[in-house]
Formats: sequence, structure tokens, C-alpha cells
Amino acid sequence: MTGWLIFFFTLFLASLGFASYKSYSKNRSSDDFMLGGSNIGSVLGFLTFSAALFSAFTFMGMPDFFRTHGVGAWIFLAVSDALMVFMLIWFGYALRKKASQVGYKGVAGFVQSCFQNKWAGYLVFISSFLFLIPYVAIQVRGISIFLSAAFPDLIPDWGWSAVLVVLMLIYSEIGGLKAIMYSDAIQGVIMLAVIWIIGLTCLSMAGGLEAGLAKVEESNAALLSLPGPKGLFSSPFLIASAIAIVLIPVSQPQFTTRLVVLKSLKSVHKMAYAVGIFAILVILPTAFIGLYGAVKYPDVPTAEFLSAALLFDQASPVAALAVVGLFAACLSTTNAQIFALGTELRSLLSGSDKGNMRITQLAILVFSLIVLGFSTIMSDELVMLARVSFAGTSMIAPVVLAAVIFKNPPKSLLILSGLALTYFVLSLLGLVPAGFAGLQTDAAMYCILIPVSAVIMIAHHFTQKNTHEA
Amino acid sequence: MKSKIWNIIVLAVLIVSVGSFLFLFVENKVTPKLGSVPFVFWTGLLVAILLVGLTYLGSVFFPHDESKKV
Repeated sequence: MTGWLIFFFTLFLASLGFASYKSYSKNRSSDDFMLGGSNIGSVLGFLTFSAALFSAFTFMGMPDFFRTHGVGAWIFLAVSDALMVFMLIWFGYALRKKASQVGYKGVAGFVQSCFQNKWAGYLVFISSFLFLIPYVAIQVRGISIFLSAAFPDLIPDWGWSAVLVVLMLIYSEIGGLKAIMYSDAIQGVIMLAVIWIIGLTCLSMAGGLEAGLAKVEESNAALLSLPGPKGLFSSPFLIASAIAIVLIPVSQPQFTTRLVVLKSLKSVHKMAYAVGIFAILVILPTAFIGLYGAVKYPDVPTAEFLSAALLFDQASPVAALAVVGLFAACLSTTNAQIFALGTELRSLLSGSDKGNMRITQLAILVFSLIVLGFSTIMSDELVMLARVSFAGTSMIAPVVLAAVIFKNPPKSLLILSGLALTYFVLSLLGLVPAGFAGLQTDAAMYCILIPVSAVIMIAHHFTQKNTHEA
Repeated sequence: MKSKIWNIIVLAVLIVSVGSFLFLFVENKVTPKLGSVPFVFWTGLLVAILLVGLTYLGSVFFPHDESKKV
């Protein structure tokens, strides 16, 4: 396998190098560097959005989720993603319209301008920092678990994490957002191809769909229905997950920024349904891998199942492609998130263009080092940690939505989202009760956050109307 | 006309999503199967495809244009 691995890695690294070279420009402004010149087409847009969305969490987490919790994993991610892409049609339009009026350098700066309040920007930045750092660390952790299991004596866990972070830093610092988008496109294509090859191989090794499902029905029939053998996929869990995922483009800045930098609304709309198709195509084979796991490796630990299903049970070229594909998937999400944190910081700075760019590049380096440290202390539950990140950032969604919808957004939403975010963080730290009324924290918070935000927005709409009429 | 179709599409998405969580994605339901595929999976797949199809229609019939580039 080593020969194949060297071959595919060389090809992959060469394409990343080419992407950085094509994107590098000596006299670029910070807008060129951070926002890719805001002139991205629909094909590149859809590939970069998809690659940022689907990552180690999909590649490794979803097969394990299907294996452990059953078919409800499809509703958890695929149905939620399909709802999310529909949201992009309206949100993309409203966001771009407002961004053309007040300017856009990042979500934090944008919200700060709309609310005319610096705390609004800080709230968005704090939420991004608190929940993107662990999310990036999940990706890095994911790849290091897999590579350590695959090559136990080569280098330690943290060595793999360091390789990933250094590689990402080199090409993002050279080429900026455009290099990241080109590399996302390459990584998206690799990921889709690899996951289908592995998915079909696993399906065939499970004895085909019919035989595989029959074996699962015999051994653990609860995998074939909701809520799954461990009772995870209850209705409140699935509905809360759907809300958190639908709000990803609103509350996770790496996606919000991608909607703004596309060259036209048409490109955003084409991108929306293309991402939906990509989501179905990329999640379906993870169900096949999960089915294979449920048949052949029902009780082994996650790392053992993944290294067997993705690597040791595959032919050498496929196994080598899996390593490169997983590395690519992980890299694309990691760089999108770290770079987004840099973009958010820059949008709050007020100095000279050159000075801001230098500070941002330095901040990206610092964020990467924090991620590297964090990745060594993360747990192995990739999907659940990703879900916490989605739910955590969604607490500030009312603020971003109000900034997009209203000319003078209601400041009471800043207090509401601030309180929701604080409670969510405190519940994660175990300082306040996690959830209430029999619901998990996020589902319980949505029961308060959504109706109260709606009442505030509707009341504000009529107050503004009356003020204008008077 | 475009605006009317867009409103119908939004309504369809709401009905499909709320209806799915209320009537399709219910606990301990395995049958009717499609071939050998359990109920939750094939209906989930169908709902996801339907929602992406509605997204495509939404992109065609979205009633607003943007006046200038960002």
C-alpha cells in the first residue's frame, strides 16, 4: 500500500501547491486575500461549500453512527441538510442584499454595522471562537485517530495532527480564501469518489443490501427503526438537530461568508440545490459502510471498526485513496473554519489594510496552535461533538437573522442570544442543569429562543412600521 | 405569478417537513419495507430527494433579483 499512498499523496500535494500558486498575487488587498475577490462562480461555490460542510465528521462519524444507532442517522443528517439547502435560497438573497448596503468583511463586522453596536460583533466572534475551535479540533482528532490506528508505529497521534495543521497553514497563508476554495474543490471531488468506492466495496462485502439488512435484523433489529438501539434518535433529538443544521449558514461564519463571495444570486441558488444533491450522494455510501460495520464489527471500538472498514479490508489502491480522501476531507473543513475565524477577527479591526492583514495572518497561526493543543484532549465522539458545535453557534442565529431582515434590528435580541449562549456554555461545563422539561439543552433552549425571538421580531416589525407611518 | 409559485413551494416545504416528523419518522416502525429497505430509511431518502427537488424549484421561481453585485 505504501507505493500507492506515496503516489496519491504526491498527486494531492501537487494539486494543492498548484492551487496556492494560481491564487497567489503579490499586490493583493486584504479583501482579495480574505474574501477571494468576491467573484466566485457556482461550481467552485458548491464544491467549496460542500467540502467545508462534509468532513471527517461525515467520512468517519456517519458510518460509525449508522453502525451504532441505525437508520435514523439518515434523518439526522441527510433530511436536515436538505432542509438547510432550501433555507439558502431565501437567506442567500436577504444576506447579499443587506451586505451590498452596509458592506461585508465578515459576519461579526457585518452584524456590528447593522446593529450599530460593537457588542453585537463581539457576541458573534465569541460564539464562533467558542464553538469553531472544538469543531476544528474534532476534524484534526478524527484524522489522527484514523492514521494512528492505520500506522501504529510510524508517528504519534499529535504528529499527524501537526502535519495536517502545518499543511493547511502553508497553503492558506500563501493563497488566501481562493486557494482554500480551489483546494476544497479538489478535496470535494476526491471525497465523493473515495466514499463511493469504499461504500460499494463494503456493501458487497456485507453480502449485498438484502442479505446485509437480513443479518442486521437477526442480530440487532433495533438498528432498522427509530430511535435506534440506544434510544438516541428520539423526535426531540432529531428536530433539535434539524434546527441546528438548518441554521448552519446563518450562524457558522465559514458558510455565511461563502454565500456573500459568490459572484451573483443565481450562483448562490445553483449552489444551493447542488449542495443538496452532493449531501445525498455523500451520505448514502456512509450508510453502506455502517451496514457493513453492523454485520461484521458490531461490538468493536470506533477506531478499530474504521481502520478495518476503510483500510485493512480494502484493496491496496482503495485503502491508499481512503487515507488521502480522509486527509483531504479533514483538511478542507479545518482550513475553512480556521480561516473563517481570521475573517471574523479582521471584520472587527479598524486599522490600515496592510496592518489588518498582518494581524489576521498572525491570528490564523495562533488559532491553529490552539486547535492543535485542543485536539489532543478531545473525546472520540465525532458526530456528537460536531452537533454541539452546530447547536452552540445557532444560539446567535436570531442576531444574524435580525441584522439581515431589519434596517434597525432590535437590540433586545442581543441580550436574548447572549443569555442563550451563556446558558448553553454553562450547561456544557456542568455549572447549570443540562436541559429541562425532559428535553436536552439545545431542544429546551430552542423552545424558548425561537418563540421569544419571533415575538420580538414581529413586535419590532409593527413598531418600525408605525414609526415610519407617523 | 413567480411570487405565488414561490409561496406554494415554501408551503410545500413546511408541509413535507412537519408532516414527515409527525407521521413518517415515528418510533419502532420498520414496515412497510421497500424491497428489503426499512420504512424509516426509504421514506427518509424520499423526503430528502423531495426537499432538494423543491429547492431546485425554489431557485427557479424565487421572486426577487439582486440589483447589483456585492
